[in-house]
Amino acid sequence: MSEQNQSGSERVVLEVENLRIHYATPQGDVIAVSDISFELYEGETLGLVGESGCGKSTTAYGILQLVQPPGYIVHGSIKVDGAEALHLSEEELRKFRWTGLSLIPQGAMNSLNPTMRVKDQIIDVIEAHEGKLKNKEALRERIFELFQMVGLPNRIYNMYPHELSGGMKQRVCIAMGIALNPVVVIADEATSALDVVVQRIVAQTLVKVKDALGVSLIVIGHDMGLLAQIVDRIAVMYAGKMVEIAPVENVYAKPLHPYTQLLIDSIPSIKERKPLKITEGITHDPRNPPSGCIFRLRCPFAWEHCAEYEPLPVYVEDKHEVACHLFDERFEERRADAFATIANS
Amino acid sequence: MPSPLLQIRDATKIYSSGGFMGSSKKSVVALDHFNMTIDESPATITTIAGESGSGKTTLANLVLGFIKLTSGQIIFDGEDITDMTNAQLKVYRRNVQAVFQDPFGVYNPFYRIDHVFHLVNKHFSLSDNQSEYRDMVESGLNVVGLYGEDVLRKYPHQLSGGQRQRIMMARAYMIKPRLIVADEPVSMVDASLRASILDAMLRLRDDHNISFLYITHDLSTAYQIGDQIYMLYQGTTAERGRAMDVIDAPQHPYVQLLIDSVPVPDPTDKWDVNISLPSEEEMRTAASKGCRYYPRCPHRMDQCLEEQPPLYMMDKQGHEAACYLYEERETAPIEAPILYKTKTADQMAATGKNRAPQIAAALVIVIAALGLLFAVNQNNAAVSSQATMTAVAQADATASAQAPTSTPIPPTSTPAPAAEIAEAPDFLLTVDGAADKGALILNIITEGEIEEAGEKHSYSFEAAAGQAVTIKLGTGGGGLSGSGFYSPFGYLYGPDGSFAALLGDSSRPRRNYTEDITLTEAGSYQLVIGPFERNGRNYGIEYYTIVFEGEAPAVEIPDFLLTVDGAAEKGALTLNVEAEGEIEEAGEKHIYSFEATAGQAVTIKLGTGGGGLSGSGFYSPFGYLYGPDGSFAALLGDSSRPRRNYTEDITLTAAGSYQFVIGPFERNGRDYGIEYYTIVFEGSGG
Repeated sequence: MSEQNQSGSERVVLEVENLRIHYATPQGDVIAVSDISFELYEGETLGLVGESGCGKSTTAYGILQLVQPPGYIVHGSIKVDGAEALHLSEEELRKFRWTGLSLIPQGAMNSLNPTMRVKDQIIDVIEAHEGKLKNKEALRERIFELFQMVGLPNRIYNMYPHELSGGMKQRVCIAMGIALNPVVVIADEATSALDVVVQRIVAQTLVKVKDALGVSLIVIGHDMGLLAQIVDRIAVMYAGKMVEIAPVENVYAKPLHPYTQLLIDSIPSIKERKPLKITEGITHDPRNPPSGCIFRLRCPFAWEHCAEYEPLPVYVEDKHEVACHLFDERFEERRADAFATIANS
Repeated sequence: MPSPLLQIRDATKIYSSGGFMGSSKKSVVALDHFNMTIDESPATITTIAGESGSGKTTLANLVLGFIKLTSGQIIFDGEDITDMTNAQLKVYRRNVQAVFQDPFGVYNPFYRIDHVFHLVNKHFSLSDNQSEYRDMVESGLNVVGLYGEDVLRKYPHQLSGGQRQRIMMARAYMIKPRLIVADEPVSMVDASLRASILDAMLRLRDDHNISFLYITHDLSTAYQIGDQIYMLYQGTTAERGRAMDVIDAPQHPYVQLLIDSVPVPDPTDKWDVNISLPSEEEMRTAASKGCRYYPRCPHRMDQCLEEQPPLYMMDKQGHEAACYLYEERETAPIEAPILYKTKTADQMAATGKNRAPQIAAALVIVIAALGLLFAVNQNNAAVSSQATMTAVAQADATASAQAPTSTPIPPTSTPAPAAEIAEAPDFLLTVDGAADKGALILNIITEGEIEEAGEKHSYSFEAAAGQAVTIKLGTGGGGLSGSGFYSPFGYLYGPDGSFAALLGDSSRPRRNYTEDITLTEAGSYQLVIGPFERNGRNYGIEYYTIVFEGEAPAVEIPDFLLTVDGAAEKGALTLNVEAEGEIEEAGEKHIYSFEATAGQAVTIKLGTGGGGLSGSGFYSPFGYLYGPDGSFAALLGDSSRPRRNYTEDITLTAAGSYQFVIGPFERNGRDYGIEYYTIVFEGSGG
């Protein structure tokens, strides 16, 4: 939905358009991802945030076409380096994963095979795509290079996953994710099960690797503090909808969508004690979303108009788009009131 | 004295694994000599924070009774949880509830939310009829900000993680616990929903006096709601104190790194340095002695490898850090093992426990032990001897009241009966029955031999308030094999069972040790001597000698006569006088006198109006009361822990002029004192 370019490279490496994913249930379909569109630029880190159940992980799995039944992609388009990836054959897809797009899954450290040595798991990934490699010495060097990149010692080459700490396992997963030089790496809650110090190391590893390889990164998470540290742009999702996309500085300095404001407000600080801001989670039935704006049931500024019309994304300024009626030119007065309310609270 | 709800002393948990078919046995120390106290009131949220493997979940599981300590004590409300009977355990489980990390896993997905409350109602027999039950559920839900009609008929999947977690809090609240152990209650809940759970915790704390042991690795929530915080590193306390103090100004290098690593939600304030763990992350099983953080510490020094650093005091509000960088500061007060149960029969009755059979059983031991009362109790194997020591303690209490009747009189810190003041104003110290009552000088020698590591000997003696006593410990022979030191070592416990003094010096080996102590309260004191483990090392001796020497406190009649602000009327039947003062330099003493009739009851309240004297270790007010004949009548204050207010009820046995001296004083080489104080005398005719 954007023709705007990121301040860095202007080459779009991933273009998602009107992606819609449903989960079939006996009582009807649950809309997990509802017609979202966004772009990812070369060398960029995009944060995808929202509360659990908002569809952020499903979006990632949709992009990789790993949505498991009863989930299915209803429609949409996913272009990687300009090539449509949505209608590939199984074989083409298999190649495409890891080389085009690679995933560092949620709880990645538990996704390692406990009965295989670290080296064998990485070799597996490489050989699955490049065929059996004769030169074992070169393969070994290549793996050591990967270790070097993610800050792992060579001695873990022959170890089993249980011999590694959580942070090391997570970095093995990063090493596997970049082993085939993908265009885009998607990290789904890659650090959320880790302690702060290890989380910091893993997050910094991700950024370092991204810079070194020039890949693009999508970081899915709900830790607004961590995202502030490592991403360039943030896309905010609520109940399957993309409600705001903006450069990271804008999101923290002046969040526009009422939901984004709530997200920013609820970040607990370690600098000052603040009164707790209490909110409920997604409260509507996902099979039966409310008419109009998806957020209106929780929105402090909602009025009749919001129940009738669904807000479309608008550009409020360069690179900053938001889907909320408050930013419709016709309702400028309401917007002023709403912002005055926020300023006073 | 604030009464403690939960006391953890020297708690150690070692997990052993391996050792099968000749493979070498590995053990992991999950918790290493951990100490903690949570006071009963006001309720607090005590945060336990640290990385995975730091022992925080082990601690939660220990407090919940899921696992057993390897050594040490967990005392809840005066009872050691390892010694509890099944009936006591049931009461304990009522008092200590848990809320766990996974807000979905604890629910049965096939039942509506209502089912959770039905179960707890049934299990704890909370209500008799349906309407009472309904009200109870509704009020529980309201406390956590929910309404029955919104949630009770729903299935777990229809609620958000935050709501599910709050329902767990409501469930815990219905049982009316005194402590909730919350193990990562918010970490699986979205950031935007965490506030509702934290708010529920605050309400339970403030409105319902329920304390929390809040286990988390999320420092920002700890900062928002925590009162006290303990930062664990590999099973030891790296730093502790008030949550805001510790997080605002961390002192321990590990805690500094931890807090610096909490991501700041501000894209313009990014991490400026890349950190890396030392390439070997295997320090988890590293240092068996010395500081656990050594392999990662940027400030490490050679001495860090020698012995684990003790906690040093960063300020006087309990901010302490275990790091030799602060070696020039004072070490934190010792947290000695709890000697015996401090609860009185009344209190036990008040909490609704029927303990008659146990008391009766204890009495049998008490009576049987009376003849041996002051003889040496050789308790083999410290842990198993707990019950014996308790029995002795109760026997002492009984004896001290000189009334071995059918109910044991609890050890007490309230004033001694009037008769005792009149008859024996000075002191009495009996050890092995050798001291004469009222004797002015005593010099008692007792000897013992410790034959096995772990064996402890205990002595009890009677003392009057204010009694000065010198206890000398000497080794008659060599050290125990395997013991690191030859030093004699003992703990002294006061009449209320609280820790009174430490005898010995673990910092260097020596053959003799002398401590001069003023015993502040009248009653039965217990001295426990024996080898023991501290900071991972064994200390012990084989032979020892104890010499108790006491002398009447030298009472100087101060040359003053200052009637309290001129406000006390001589011979008046009622007095309610307030005096205020300011002590400007260390050593300065203020003296007040007042007149009293015989048998007059007077309440003296001391309070600090301001901060402590510079250089003084404590803020406690402290004073001595002298009778008309110049003899020492009562001690006002408590040097064993700092507090701002102190009240003592005294019956003045003789008519005449009493003098009250307040001021800083030196004790055990440390200054105690206050800068401002308020005294309130309240009395009525006897």
